[in-house]
Formats: sequence, C-alpha cells, structure tokens
Amino acid sequence: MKYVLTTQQLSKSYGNLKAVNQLSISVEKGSVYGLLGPNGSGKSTTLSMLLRIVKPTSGSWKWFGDSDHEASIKKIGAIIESPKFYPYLTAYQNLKIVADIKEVSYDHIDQVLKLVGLLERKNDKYQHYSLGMKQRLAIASAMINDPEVLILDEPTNGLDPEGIIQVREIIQEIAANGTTIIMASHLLDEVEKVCSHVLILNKGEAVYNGSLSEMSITNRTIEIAANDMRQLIQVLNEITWVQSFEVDQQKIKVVLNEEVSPEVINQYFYDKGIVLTHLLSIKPKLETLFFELLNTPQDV
Amino acid sequence: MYKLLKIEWKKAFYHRGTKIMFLLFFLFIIGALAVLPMIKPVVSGESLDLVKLGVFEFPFIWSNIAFIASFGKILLAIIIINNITNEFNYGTYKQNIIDGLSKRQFFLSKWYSTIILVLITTVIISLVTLILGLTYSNSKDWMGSSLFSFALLIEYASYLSLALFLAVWLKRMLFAFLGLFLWNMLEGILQLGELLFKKALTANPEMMSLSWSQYLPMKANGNINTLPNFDLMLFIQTGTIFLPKEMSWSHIWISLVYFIVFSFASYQLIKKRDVQ
Repeated sequence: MKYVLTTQQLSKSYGNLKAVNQLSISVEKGSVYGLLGPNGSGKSTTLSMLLRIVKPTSGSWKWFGDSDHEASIKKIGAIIESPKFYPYLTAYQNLKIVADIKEVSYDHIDQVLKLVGLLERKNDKYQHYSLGMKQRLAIASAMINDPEVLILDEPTNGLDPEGIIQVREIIQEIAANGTTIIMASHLLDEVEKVCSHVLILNKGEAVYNGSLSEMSITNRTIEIAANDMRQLIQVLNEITWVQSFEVDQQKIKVVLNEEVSPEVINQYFYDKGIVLTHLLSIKPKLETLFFELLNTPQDV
Repeated sequence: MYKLLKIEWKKAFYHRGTKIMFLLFFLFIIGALAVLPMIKPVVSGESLDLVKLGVFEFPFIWSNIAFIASFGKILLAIIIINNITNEFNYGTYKQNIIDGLSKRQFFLSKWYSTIILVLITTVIISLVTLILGLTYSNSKDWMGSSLFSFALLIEYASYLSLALFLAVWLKRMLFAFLGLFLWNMLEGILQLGELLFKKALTANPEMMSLSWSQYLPMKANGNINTLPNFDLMLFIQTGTIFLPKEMSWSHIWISLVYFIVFSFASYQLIKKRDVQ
C-alpha cells in the first residue's frame, strides 16, 4: 500500500463560502505531510472532514484504501486545534479514558507519557499543566494506539521557544519510527524543518501538492552583482529565462524561469562583457515559494 | 455497553460537582426521611406526630415517599446537564469522536448512564422505604402499593430525558437550566390558557377540569407522584389520615412516550449535527 490517504473531489461549503473546493490528494505512507495555508484556507476543515467530525458537502475519502471510516479511525491518532481533556482528571486518568475509547491496554499509557517526557507528572491534574505540557499530553494521547497516521493541527501554536523545540523533537522522533504524519501549520519555518511533503491550500483549493525538495528545485533564485550595475540591469531586461529581478543595494536578486547552472549564467554575462563580482544560487525559503504560489494560482 | 459505561464512570467518578450533587440527593432523601419521624408539628394547639398520622404505614408509605423523592429529580437533572454540557464546554465530545467513539456510542454512553442513575436511585429509595416501613408500620402489607416506586422510576426517567435533550440541544449549562425553567413556565402559561378559555365558554365548574394541558411533558411528569390524599375528618373518626391513592396510569404512559421521544430527539440531534 503506497498511500495511506486518498481524497476525491472533497468539498465543503458553508452557504456560499467554499471552505474546501474539490480537493483530490493522496498522502504517501511514511511521509511527513505539511498542510500549509493562511488562516481560513481550509486546513482545519479538511482535517475535520477526514476525522469525520464535519460532513463533506460532496466528495469522498479513503484511509488505507478503506471507506469504512469508523474502522480506519482506530489506526489514526489525531489532535485538532487545541488539546482537549477533562481538566479535573489527572493526565493518567485522561489517558485511561482515551485508552478505553481506542480499546488499547493501559500499559501503553506510561510508554507514551515517557515519549513526551510527562511520566513524572502523570498524576497531576490536567488543569495544572502548562500549555506546552498540554500540547505534549495531546501528542501522547494521539500516540496511545501506536497509530499508522498521526494528525496534528498547529502543534506548536502558542508555545514558547523551548516548548516549540520540545514538540518538534518529539514529532521528528515519531516520524523516524515510520509513522506517517499529517501536520497543519501556518508556521512555514516549522514545516520546512519537519516535513518531507507539502500541500498548500488557498481559499479551499490546492495550489501545490508534492515533495518539498522538488518544490525548491523548480523555483530557482540567484543573487548576482557586478561593478557596473546599470549595465547588468540592462542585460537582465533582455534575458528570456529571467522571470523577474529585484535590485537590492549592491546585489540583484533574480528569479529564473527554469533551472540554469551557474556556469551557464557566468558565461552568458561574460559574453555580454560583464564580469560578475558575485554569483550565488539561493535555495529559496519556503516562505518565498509560499507567497509566490498564493499570488499566482496554478494547476497542481 | 460495558465499554461505554466504563468510560462514563471514569468521567463522572472524579468530578467533584457530580459527587456533591449525588451526595446532596441522598442527604436530601435520607435526611427528609430520617427527620420526618421526629417532626411533631403543632397544628391548632395540638401536636401532630407524623408516625402516628400513618405517614410510614404500609401501604401509604410507598406513595408518600415517592412524593417526597420526586423532588430529587431536579438534583439528578443538574448532574446530567452538567455532565453533558461539560463535554461540549471542554471540547472533549469532539476529541472523543476523533479518538474513535461514534456519535451513536457517545449518545448511548450518556443515555445508558442516565438510565443507570435512575435505576440506582430508585432502588435505593425503595429500600429506604421498605426499611422505614418495617420500622414504623403496624400493617404487614409490605409490597402493597410498591408500584409507586415504578411510578417514581418513570417520573425520573422522563424528566431526565428532557434534561438530556435540553443539554444536547443547547450545549451550555446555563442555557439548559434556563431551558428547563422556561419550559416549565411555558407549560404553566398553556395550562392557564386552557383554564381561561374554558372559563370563557362555560360557568359549569364540572367542565372546568383540565384536559389536554395536564399531559404536557412537565405537567404529566409532575402528575405521576402527587401530594398524598388525606382527610382530616377521617383522622378524627378513625385515627388514620391517609386515603388510598390510585396510580395515575395515564400520566405514566404519556411520560413513557415523552421519554422515548426526548431520547430519540437527542440521538437525532447528535447524529445530524456536525461535531463542534
């Protein structure tokens, strides 16, 4: 089985608003899938439909190639929005309830509490936990049935830097064990550090869906400089493989249409009588790509 | 069913509010029953002993205690409303569903625990009735009129099914309590309306008895266990004050129908609505 999840034309409308529009995606087994998009782009709605708490207007989805959602949910661990537990119960008592629901042994509780570093605090009431601890308890709770897929929604939301690092390390540890992770986030930096694949949503539609590395290769940016900047700009205006450029004091940032090797670039300018004093091939940050994709809608 | 009750037990057992309400309920019932034999109210210069009046005499004790215990339904409703609205408030309803509980299972877990609560309280009250009767009653007709325990069971069950429905529908504790209160007021207004309407039509007092409005959910519920029948003249003549009381079967049956309707409506609400 290559895919753990496939969706077909999944849509959800609230009145005239199309929260999710004809979303057809597939998630590969073992990948760390980042679900990106600005607020209101349909990330949470998509996850809510996949976890059968919101009914789709149309379309369908299959977990593990199976359309029996009640059965597949047993193989999934998920937290949506903020952690949700009974505040008057201890962490251990809360996880016992989750274990009962998921029909797993209480023996797993200590294991998952250890994974997130809360074993020592297991008999403290949930209401006395800090936000970081709550978030980690939620991950522990989602991991209690040793799921094949772990779904996280903004797992580092509202955490302090230390909490963010702790949660990120836990996620990476879980991913290293081969669990497929689907993670919604609006923190691009976060996704770049953790994810292997990304799905970028905008206004309920997928604007990019694929691996993170491929995404970077297809969007090349270089930085160049020469002694005669005016001549350089003049030449840049004529080049067909230049998509756009931006003058930044001593350097010019150039976005290329296609991947061009530094050798070719250097030779080109040399032939035009310009000696480049600076040539840097920049692997663009996800942030840059993200905003480019949002501004230029395109087919996936 | 065992799984669902196990989950509910864990949710409720450690909840301080639930424990306090449950404790209050039994303090109220047992307290009322323990204190009653000691009360000797003075009425027109004469001291009345409730034991001598035959409050605890079989078979009257069954309907008398059922009447007192019927007020306890409000405390039980608080437990149910608090338990269910907390699930919406904490967001744990959503998390339960995400964790793998189906909507049907969630509803059933609440429904089963409501029924268990009703059964346990009714059984305890019946036992207390029996013990008090055996202690104070001269009559040996133990089980005569014990059907009033069944009447109490139906009264609790139908009242709590309405509480369950309001909790599921309104999701907020305060709203659900207000709902219970307003529902009661609305039925009172409807009853008044019926009375005024009949009064306008006829001056014949025999035609003035209530017909349809006594079968509204809360009115029917309250009419199951009513104030005991007593007659002061009888007391002067024979020394016992109570008259035999009929079971109000029509109110019991209609309440049973309401129980089914409210249970089903709660289930449909949960099933049809998105989990939020």
